[in-house]
Amino acid sequence: MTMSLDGAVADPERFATVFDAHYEEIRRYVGRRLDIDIAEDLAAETFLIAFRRRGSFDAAKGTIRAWLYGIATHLIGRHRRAELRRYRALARSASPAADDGHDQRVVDRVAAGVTVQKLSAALAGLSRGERDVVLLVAYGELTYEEVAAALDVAYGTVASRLSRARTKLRDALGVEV
Amino acid sequence: MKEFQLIDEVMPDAPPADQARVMAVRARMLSDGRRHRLPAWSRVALTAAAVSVVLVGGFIAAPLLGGPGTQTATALGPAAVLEAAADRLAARPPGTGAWWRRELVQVLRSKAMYGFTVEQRVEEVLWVNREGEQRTERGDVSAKPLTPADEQVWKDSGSPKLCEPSDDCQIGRFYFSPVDQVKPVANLPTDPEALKAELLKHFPVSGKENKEAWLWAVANWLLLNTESTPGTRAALYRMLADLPSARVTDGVTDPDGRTGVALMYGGPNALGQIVIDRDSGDLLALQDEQVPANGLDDVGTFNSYVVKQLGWTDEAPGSD
Repeated sequence: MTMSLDGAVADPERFATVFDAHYEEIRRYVGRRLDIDIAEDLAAETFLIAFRRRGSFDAAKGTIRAWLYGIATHLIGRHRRAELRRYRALARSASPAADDGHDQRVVDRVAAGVTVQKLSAALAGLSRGERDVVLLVAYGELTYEEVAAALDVAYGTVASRLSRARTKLRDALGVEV
Repeated sequence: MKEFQLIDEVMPDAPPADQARVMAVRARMLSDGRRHRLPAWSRVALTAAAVSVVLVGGFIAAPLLGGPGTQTATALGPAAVLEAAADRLAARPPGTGAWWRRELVQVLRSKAMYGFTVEQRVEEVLWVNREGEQRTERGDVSAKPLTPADEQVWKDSGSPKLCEPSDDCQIGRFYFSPVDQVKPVANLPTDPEALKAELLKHFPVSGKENKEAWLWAVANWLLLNTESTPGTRAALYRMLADLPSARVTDGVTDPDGRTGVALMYGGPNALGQIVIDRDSGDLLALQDEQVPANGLDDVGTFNSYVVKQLGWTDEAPGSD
């Protein structure tokens, strides 16, 4: 047992510290991509899978965060249609509720023409791989290296997906993202 | 501006988590590790777990739940385990003998330069007699890389000294707010509410201390460094379990591999643990984890006072 959470991953008794440190952000990440009832299940499943597979976690390949985000993203992939439905619904709706709690910066964005509706439509227009890398960076604030580790793809793949996604988003929104 | 900040700012956020549900998920995950026989996760099981979390007077009772085919009949929630252990401890007589003796090993694990983890250990015996006279015997500190992997990194780094030469391998003690006015501790109440009220009489009025954090620290001191009676110790467990910010978790292990039910206080970056024997209610260890907020797989320290023996005895200092 060490104070590093790498050690906690391997130790079943200390895996609780991994849960305490990361559950909320993983739940939030999934909950921004899928409806909350599905997201609650997937966030829980992410940690159950992580707990069962804790012996296979390799700190040399990436951080615990990246590993957890990777598991969560893989699970989200099984609900790709639900995610697209969600974006399309957001794109259609006037959805004042969707803007509740947002701050002045969002109002500024809305004034600049980038709304939840337009952005949702633009996200729906990305491929699954492109959307994964974009949202891991946007919501999880993962570095490119972490995204590569999370998705088990090459660094160059992450860079090229981001580049393509950025072009598509710019074309759809009319602004650089 | 961070990358894709626009997406983060414009897209709707997830609704806040229901803490009862989070605790149920946590309990379910950990219980899966203890049983190895749970079926795959299902929405039905999650719903059952969420419904079954009961908050009773600050205790978080999160039963170990399973689906069909699992063994749940005898599983007790952590709060119930602690309650039963406290009952057994409280039923024990205070003990006889001229001296109260507490033997522990302090274990400090920290990441050294070059990235390997060092474990330092030191034995300490505290003696207190009926008149309140105290003596402390402290052994030499040993230090070694924690695991074979740490040892390899240590060797690869040229086998540097494991302690700073300037401190001669000494490790610091954590001092738990002694409150001299509460003495004699043998007369402290054995009812948790009465005990809390008695202790809070000494809460510093002028300071800006957090009342819960103060009670936690005073309880740590009373449990580790004083001859408080079994009844008072059991009341301390119950008092702490009742603190809104404290929680009870089963299956917490000390550095010697002994597992018990634990009172926990703090967050993921600074977590205090009082590990208690499930059967006897004996104090197994007081532990403190410090994890830096930024890199959770980075540097941190873990300090544990592993209690070997504690109680009144016919032995006297220097006689062993």
